[in-house]
Amino acid sequence: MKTVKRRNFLKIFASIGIFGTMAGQTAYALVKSFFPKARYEPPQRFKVGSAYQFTDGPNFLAKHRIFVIKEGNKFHALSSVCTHLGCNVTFNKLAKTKNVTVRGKEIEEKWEFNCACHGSKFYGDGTPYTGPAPTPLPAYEVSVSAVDRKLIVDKNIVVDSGQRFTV
Amino acid sequence: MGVWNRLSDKIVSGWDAAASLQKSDAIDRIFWIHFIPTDNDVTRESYSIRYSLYLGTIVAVIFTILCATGFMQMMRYVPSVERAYWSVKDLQFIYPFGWFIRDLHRISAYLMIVFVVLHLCRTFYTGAFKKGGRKKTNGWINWMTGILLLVLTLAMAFTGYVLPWDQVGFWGATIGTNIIKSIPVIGDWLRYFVLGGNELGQNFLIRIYAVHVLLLPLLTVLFISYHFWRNRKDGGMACEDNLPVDTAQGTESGQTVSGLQKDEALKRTPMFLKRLIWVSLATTAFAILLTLFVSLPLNAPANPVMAENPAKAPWFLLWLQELVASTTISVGQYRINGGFVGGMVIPGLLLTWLALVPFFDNSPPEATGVWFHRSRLRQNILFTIILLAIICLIFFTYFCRGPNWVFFWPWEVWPEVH
Repeated sequence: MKTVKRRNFLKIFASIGIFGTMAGQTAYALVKSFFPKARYEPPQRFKVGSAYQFTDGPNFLAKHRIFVIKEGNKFHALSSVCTHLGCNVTFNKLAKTKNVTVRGKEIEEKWEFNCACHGSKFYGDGTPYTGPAPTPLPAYEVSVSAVDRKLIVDKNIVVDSGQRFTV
Repeated sequence: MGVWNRLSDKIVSGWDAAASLQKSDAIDRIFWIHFIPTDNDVTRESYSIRYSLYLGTIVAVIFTILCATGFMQMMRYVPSVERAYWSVKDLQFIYPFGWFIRDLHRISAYLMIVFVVLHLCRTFYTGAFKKGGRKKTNGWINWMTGILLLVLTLAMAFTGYVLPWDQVGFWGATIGTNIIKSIPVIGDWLRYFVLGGNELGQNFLIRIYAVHVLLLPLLTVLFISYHFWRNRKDGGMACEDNLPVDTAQGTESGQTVSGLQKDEALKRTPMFLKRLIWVSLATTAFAILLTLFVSLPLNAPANPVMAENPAKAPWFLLWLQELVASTTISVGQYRINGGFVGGMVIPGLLLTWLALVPFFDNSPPEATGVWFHRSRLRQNILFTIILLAIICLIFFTYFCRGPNWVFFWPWEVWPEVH
């Protein structure tokens, strides 16, 4: 059996330890340097304005890429980023309402969402029914500011698409 | 006159003209011996246009044009999201002949893709990746290097069309980075790493710029050099593999191109060098002619909230766009994003198949370096089908996809949308 002297073993052990640590630190710093500590991007939680400023139906907010949808005094927010490959979906007002069954529930819809890039189409509640989009458009939590009564949308919190915020 | 001579002697003092001439002569010889084969070593067959079509040479020439025009564009382009588009516009309209530099760069990029693919076809159909009669030939190493160069070419083309930050570039980048995002498990992290944030912005543009102008061309130069060198070390073109060997000269019954002694041949302009010059001039002329007659207008500036409808990728990526648009599949209740299937899995499988071809090739050594050898009929048919499928997809997507990615016949008029 081949034996390794204690001295040699310690030498190898120490050099792997020292140089390995150095290489590891370098690699870590190198990768880490690609992640900025601050991002100059719109915030994930933001005020979108007072309730009365919105018209009935989807209101597109370009800066945040969301639709704030008003139905009477009920509000909800849908992402406008296609779940397929990130193009912007546009809303398409239907000439006459149609009844569709989404996930076992029959709903009446007045508008739909279309994606120009690869032809995905979504029902009014964000469920895809044709094209390559794999998942529904996420709905974000809507709340109201206690200070100035403006609506707040939080993109960090995804809620059920049936949830409505009543003002 | 005397002052000038004395001055110039001062500048180059210590330089012996005669010795230097000798040296440079030696360097020339050694360089040319290594760079291109001398007429003594090589058979007429391996120089023939009929065999190689000089496609690799053409690609190298086009790459040189791209480097030169790219360098000239670097001095005018500003890699910032606010100014990138307008600096390209200035290049097109404000700088005299700027349009020529930009269009030549773009035409050459398209030509490079075309000729790289043609070169791949030539190598495949002639079975040049195979080991023939010669002992030390390792065709598969150069074949793999070639595949790597194909990937590098496409990567340069993709990063290049993002840079003007127009609608096509912006939405192409959006789709490209979301294909990265669609990779399971690491996708989100990888996209964040590439973008340097959650959205396409300055961080992303400057990264793509650095990669496009430095990293990718450097790698390409490296691998093109290796590609050339490897070919020489493998003993030249594959078509020579199956020629009857004459031990005295090492080639077909001593019949070299020149039939001269070694040193004598070097003093003459080698036949290959002549051909090289002709091919270079013809390629350059062709690219310039195309540039003069084909206009490639700039798109509208990037609008991050409204893609064009239909938003089509440049032609060389259209087949991928059609794939990502139609390969979303359902497995039980799970849906797998077409971006992953069509944008990662299918191209990955195609590349893997290409890379593995030399190892599953059972044709005899006689088939090496022979166009359409019968023993390779099946793989040639498979290759042709895949190639035709890709070309058909490109034409289909180009002519038959209208607004909202709906099918239209090419002669149908598109309805007005948004």
